[in-house]
Amino acid sequence: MFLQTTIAVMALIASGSAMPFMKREANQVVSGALATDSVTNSDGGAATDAYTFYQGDGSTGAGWPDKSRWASFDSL
Amino acid sequence: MPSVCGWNNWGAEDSSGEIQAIYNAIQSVAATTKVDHRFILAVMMQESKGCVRVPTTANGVRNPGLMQDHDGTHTCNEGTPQIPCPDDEITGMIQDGAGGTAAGDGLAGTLNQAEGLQRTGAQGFYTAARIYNSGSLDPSGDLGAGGSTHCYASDVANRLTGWTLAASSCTL
Repeated sequence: MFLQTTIAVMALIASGSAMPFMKREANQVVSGALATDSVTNSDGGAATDAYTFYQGDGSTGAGWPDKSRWASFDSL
Repeated sequence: MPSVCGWNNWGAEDSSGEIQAIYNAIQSVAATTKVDHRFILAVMMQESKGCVRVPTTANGVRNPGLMQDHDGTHTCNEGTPQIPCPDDEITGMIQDGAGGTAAGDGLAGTLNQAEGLQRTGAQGFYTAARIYNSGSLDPSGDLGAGGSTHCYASDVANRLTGWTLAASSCTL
């Protein structure tokens, strides 16, 4: 996606906005199993421009994509 | 070049320098927060389509910038689009969204919350996205339930596999 420093994305109506519930400090760090310790651009497969309506709890059992199906940073 | 900002009437399109600054910010913030840079990118696209001059929204809570974060100090449009958007504002907007602010968790905090809810792997990221959008996970555990944007977690999961322009089939 950042090849040649361009983003090849067209505009759609922006969706979503974050709403806070709890006060926290800044400069947070992911501390457990969900931490990503290195930053690598070829860290996944090819991107597929398609939409699948995922429902439920986010598990692969409920049909949501495993991390192995995520595209690489440089293809996003 | 992208036409994100103009389509939404948010001001001038991102310049190539601003896009490079976004890239640099995502990479450096990913390194320090340990948030997967793909997740930062997906949530940024969900929140602002990458337009540096995205307006601050305020629906009881102030959400500025590329990540529409929790009342952060960094923005390039608090009513007047700033051209150019300075590199340190761009870095600040990404940092506020990924690393959190005094007012609320960033993606790092919501990922830690997801792990605390015994949700790891990809499910942990989708849960963290849900918490970033609405502040909590619905007691049912359903990522489409609760407040805010019901399609948010499904949208982010799709962005992570490459969704950009295809029509959404989310009916929530």
